[in-house]
This record gives sequence, C-alpha cells and structure tokens, in this order.
Amino acid sequence: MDKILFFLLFLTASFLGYWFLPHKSRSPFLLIASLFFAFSFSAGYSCLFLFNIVIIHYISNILKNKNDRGKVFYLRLSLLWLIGNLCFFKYNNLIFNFANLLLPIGISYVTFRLIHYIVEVYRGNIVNTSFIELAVYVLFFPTFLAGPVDRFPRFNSQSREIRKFEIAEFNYGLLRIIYGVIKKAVIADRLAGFIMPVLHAPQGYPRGIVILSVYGLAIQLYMDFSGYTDMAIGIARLFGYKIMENFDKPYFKKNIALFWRSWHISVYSWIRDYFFFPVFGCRASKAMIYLGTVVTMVVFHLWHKATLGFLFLGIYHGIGLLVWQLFQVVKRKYSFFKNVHSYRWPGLISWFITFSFVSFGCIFFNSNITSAFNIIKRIFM
Amino acid sequence: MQKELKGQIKDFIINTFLGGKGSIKEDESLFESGLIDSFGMLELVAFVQKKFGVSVKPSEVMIENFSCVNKIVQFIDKKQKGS
Repeated sequence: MDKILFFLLFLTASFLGYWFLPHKSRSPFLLIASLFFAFSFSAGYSCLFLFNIVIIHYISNILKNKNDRGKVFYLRLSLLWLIGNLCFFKYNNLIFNFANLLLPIGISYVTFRLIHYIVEVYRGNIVNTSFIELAVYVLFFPTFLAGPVDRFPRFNSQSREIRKFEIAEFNYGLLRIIYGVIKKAVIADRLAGFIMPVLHAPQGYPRGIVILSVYGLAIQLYMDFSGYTDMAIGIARLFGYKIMENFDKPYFKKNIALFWRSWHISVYSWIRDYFFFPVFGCRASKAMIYLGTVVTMVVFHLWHKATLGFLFLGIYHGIGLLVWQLFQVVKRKYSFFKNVHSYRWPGLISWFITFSFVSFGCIFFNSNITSAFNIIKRIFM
Repeated sequence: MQKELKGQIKDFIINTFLGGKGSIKEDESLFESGLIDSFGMLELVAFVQKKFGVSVKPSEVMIENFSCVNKIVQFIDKKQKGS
C-alpha cells in the first residue's frame, strides 16, 4: 500500500479511536497506536525500544529506594546501556561493521527521551510514573520519527489531563500540518530542484549563482526540517497534545548564540542540559568551558551523521560560538561595543554575518567533504 | 548572611554580564531575560564554586538551580548546610 495512504488511514483510525474512548483508556490506546506505527518500520527494533523502556522503568523504580551511592551506580548503568545502544547502531557501519545492521528509525529520539527521563528521576524531578505513561512519552507516534524531543513532565501532565475534543485545537493542528506540507513538499523540494544541480557541479555555473544557491540551501534545509516539525506538532495537536516548538525564526537572529537557541531547540537544549552542563559545568575553569563549547558542537553534529563533513561542521560552529563568546568579553571592556546591536545598521550587519555564517556551514551539511571544498573553491578562487 | 550572599552574586552578574552598570532583581529570570546564555551559566557555576567553596556535582548543573539570584542563594545555602 502507498505509504501516504497507509499513514492517512492509520491517522484517521487513531484519531477517531482516541476521542471516542473514555479518558482512562486513551493513553493505553495511544501506546498501541504508537507501537503499531513503530512496528510498521521494523518489528525487531520496536521490540528493542520496548525492552529499553522496560529496563529504564524498572531501574527508575529501583532509584527511588536507593541511597546516593546506589543511585549513582544505577544511573551510570542506565546511561552506559542507552548511549552504548545508540552508538552501536549509529556508528556500526563506521566502526564495528557488524552484520550490516540498518539504523533503527527513531533510535536517537527514543534514546534522548529515555536519558532525560532517567536523569530527572535521579534528580528527583520525576516521581510516580506508570509504565504506560513512560512508553507513550517515548514512542508517541507524531514525534517518533523526527522529534521534537519534548520533556516528560510537560508531556505527561497533558496525558493525565482530562480533555474534551475542541474544534479550535483540531483546526490549529490541521493548519500546522498544511504549513508543514507546504514547507516540505512545495518550498523545500522545489528549491532543491533548483539548487542541487548547481551545488553538485559548481564549476559549470557563475560565482553569483553558486553563492545564491548556498543561501538557497540554508533556506531549503530550514523548510525541510521545520516542515517535518510543523507536521509533528500539528498531528500531536489533533490528539490535544501541545508539543514544544523546535524552531524560533532562526534565520532572523543577530548572532550565532541566538541562532543556536532557536534552531532544533529540543535537541540543542537536550545536549546543553545533559551533556554540556554536566560534563563541563563543574570544572570551574574558563578554558574548559571554551573547550566544552567546541566539543559540544562536535558531538551534536556527529550525532547527526558520523562523517568528515559533519565533524568539520561541528568544529566550524564550535569556533563560531567561541569567537562570539570572546567578543562578549571584549564588549564588556569597551563601552563602544555595548549598545552596538541596538542601532539599525550594525543590527542589519550582525544579522547578515550570522545568516551568511550559518548558510556557508550548510555546504558541509549537504555534501561530502570533497564536494563541499569544490563549492568553496568556486566561490573564493 | 543571605543579604551579603545576594549582594556578592548580584555584583558578579552585573560586573560580568552587564559591564558593571545597571541592576537586577533577585527573582529576575537570568535566562528568560536573555542576560545569561548556557556559556554564562557555566561562568556563574564556576564563580559559585570558587567564591563560596561549594562543590557542584554534574547532576546539579541545571538551569533550575541557577535561574535567578534567589535560587542561587538557596542552592548555596542547601550545599553549605549539607556539607
């Protein structure tokens, strides 16, 4: 059956079933629907996800009754298992090359949610959760494939809330889905048709066209990715769930730090809260914080894809953030710079530099390292 | 004691992030207002560790503990009583 038709039938059946059922049956129903959705991609990997949820739920119950030392042991064990799982599947072809395994669809988002859950249980911020509540949060089908990675307390309070079907919410959901489809299928895919031939063979085109294509690529990537997010948020809203936003006009930001606070927000804030802060936060040294900024960006990008291009992109953005932070130090010392962003022209220049910096980074997002350098060569030589 | 603590934290924030000018309220959200980003948060954690001799565990480096002056004071207080 055609994939889109299958999904539309599945969505309609889930939607009708969800709202016709009484409140207490809705979460179990959503779990069954989400499992069905996950199984449609791979039964084996869905069993692995379920197994991980069972383990984490079991350990989270143990954590409640342990002293500090015992808690640390179980937390480390959980993290080792979850990160090990993710790294094994994500980098199998690159490092282990074991049995030509395919990457399990949704594994990153499932792992991020489980790590968030177990860390917050450890911190005492999550208590008294049922297995079904955890499983619905982890496998919730609208956000299973491409996020956003919502936070458990926010998500679960909505699962527990007794809700009635509201036409305004339904309309909003539909509108977000339509926005998403337009961004993805109309804008991103069509734009790709124009710019990809240029970026694949930049030597055959004038320099101006290549530069325009690089900016076009940045817009195409945003439309593609935020289009998926809009669809996910819209579908979740059909079921009454308000999922966290993933983008906040990132290309209108006037510096690279603000850009990163508005791009792929749910995963970037996840990396900040569960990698950057805990790993580099208690070192009490400025050099470690600077190093942490670059390492965090490298990890963030290598999570996307373990290629030389993404490694380069991580270093590129890490250095970008570092330069911005050093500029902050200079700004604090010299009064001339203090209000520079509030003036119109410096504000426009800041925006243009930020947008150009991000756009040129996109070359490495989309191409292998040789093609990327061919594009750069065509622009600058 | 708490007043002195609050004053020292405020001074650090004003000197480090506001260039020595301006003021902040004790319950003002440092992150939502955009005054401090994630990098600034770690500068704040480093300051708390060095200035008040508090050892911060990796699991304690979270926005909730450093979101405003009052929260930072509460955190330091809890740590000092616990040690």
